[in-house]
Amino acid sequence: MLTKELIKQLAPDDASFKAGSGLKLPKWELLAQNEEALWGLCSGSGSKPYQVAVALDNFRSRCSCPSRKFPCKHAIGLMLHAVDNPTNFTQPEMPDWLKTWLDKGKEKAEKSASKAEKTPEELEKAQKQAEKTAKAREKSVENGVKQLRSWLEDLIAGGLSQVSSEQLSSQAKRMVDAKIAPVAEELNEIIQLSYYQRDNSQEEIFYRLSKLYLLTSAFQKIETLNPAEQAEIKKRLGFQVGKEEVLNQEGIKDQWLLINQKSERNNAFLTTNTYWFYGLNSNRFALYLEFITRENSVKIPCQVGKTYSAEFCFYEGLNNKRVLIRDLNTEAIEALPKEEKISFAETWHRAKKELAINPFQTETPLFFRAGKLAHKNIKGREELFLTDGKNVFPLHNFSANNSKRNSQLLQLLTLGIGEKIDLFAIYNENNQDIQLLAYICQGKFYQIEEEREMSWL
Amino acid sequence: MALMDYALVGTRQISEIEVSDEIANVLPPQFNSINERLYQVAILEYSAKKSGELLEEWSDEYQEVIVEPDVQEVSDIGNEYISNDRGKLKKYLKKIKEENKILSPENLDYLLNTYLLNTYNRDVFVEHYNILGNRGKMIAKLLNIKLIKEKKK
Repeated sequence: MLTKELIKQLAPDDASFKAGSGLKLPKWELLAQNEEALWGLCSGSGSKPYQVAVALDNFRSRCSCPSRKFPCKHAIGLMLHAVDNPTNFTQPEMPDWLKTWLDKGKEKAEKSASKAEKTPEELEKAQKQAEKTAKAREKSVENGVKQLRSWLEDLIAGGLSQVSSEQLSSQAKRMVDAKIAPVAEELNEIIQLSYYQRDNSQEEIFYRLSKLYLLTSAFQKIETLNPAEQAEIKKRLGFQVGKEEVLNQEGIKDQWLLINQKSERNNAFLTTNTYWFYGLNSNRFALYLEFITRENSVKIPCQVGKTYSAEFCFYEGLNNKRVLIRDLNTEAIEALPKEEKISFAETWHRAKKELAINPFQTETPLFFRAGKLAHKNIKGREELFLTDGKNVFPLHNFSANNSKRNSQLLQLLTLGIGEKIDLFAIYNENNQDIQLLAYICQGKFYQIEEEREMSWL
Repeated sequence: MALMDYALVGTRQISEIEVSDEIANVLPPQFNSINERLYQVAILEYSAKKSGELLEEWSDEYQEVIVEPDVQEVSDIGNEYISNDRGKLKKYLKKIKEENKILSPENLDYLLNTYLLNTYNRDVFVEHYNILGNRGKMIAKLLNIKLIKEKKK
């Protein structure tokens, strides 16, 4: 069922939701609905009103406006009116543009369903083709890894002081050609690091190059590794795992608390939504990624701070956090993690164990229980910590961006002074950055917002 | 020589890498090349260093953040003031000041955000600091924000 919370969740960002809320009734020349869809005509800057529609089965949307966001503000506005002013919606016959769009959607769904229903001959042919592609890919990666290893050896033989960003960039391009996208991405991040000129950036570059070298060593002896290790190495080299393969594995049924959700616009056509969940019984973290394109704007209807009964299937690998959702009850449960006495040292010990098992893991989620805020004067500045009385966890070294840091600290400080706090955070091992995700204080859940809107600027 | 120096100079210039006993004990017995040895030592050394540094032990240098409010807290800012209208906020702050009250954490969060993050100079919290009470002053201190009184016009 469409609710305001769900619409907020579907919106690509806060600005779009706000803009959609601002499309008052006089802007709408038509508001209509039937069992299949909501549609309307909304006047905009052009001479003709925009044709807006939302399919009610999966909240897919379309609009004739030029926006590259989806759903655009008009689709959001239409959905909001359906919730707030249902009596303003008429039930006329569907216009042709809407019929065509809905039919196309159905056609696409049928096509993907029929893909699953192939004849044995077709299946065999497809399987052979897939095997051929996989082999070619493997060969390409094998050659790419060899080349990467030899390049890294030349690099360390000549000394890192001689390395230029052009060299790194050209190696990144070679990795793209060899179909090893994650390594190309890593090299591009290393190039960025070399521009920052931070105190420890040289060390970080060396460490990250060392990990790439370790990856090449692991790939050379991949056949001797156990299945989880093999899956991890393959993942780091960009081998894709089919959704069906993941969903065929045994899942973990639990009550999953959505602790943080953020959207990142990769380009004009792709937005990645990241959801971090925490299992109340399994005490496991789960990372769900959603890729939103113009064709696929379906989002999971979950709200941050709410708990859902669900079955998550984890991707194979070493302590892999990434999941696919097999089953999700969208009815939220009011439940938070039970109070538990786990010292900070124990939490950190468990995280270190994970890092020891998987040297390629960069992000480690942490859950510190019953901490209190503390401060210490460091070089004339008051810096903030969380403590369990025996150990202290620094809150001051997360995020180099000052305004973001202030905003996050402010939120935590105003509510947390003198109170016990359960804190979710992510530790990035590469740069020792800490990203705060959420905290629970006085039995209430608070997501740490990344940035506040600059409304007066 | 520190590990980073070896890496910067390059293995063509060196014949062996000195490592601590701890690392020497866990290094695999054989290496094909000094390049492999240097990368392997880097992994071991930096992993140990990085993973060891996150938590610190509690000591007297730390102080727990405690604030004793000395005046009555205002619990609800009221919808009419939840706006981006600077004039309305000022009026509200004046009222709070006259009644010698301080703001609840939620409202303080809201007001500090509006002032701190939405003004062009984010390092200086200029206006109305008196009405924030002890909680606001403590927060400003912990955020290393300089408090200065509002200039009289």
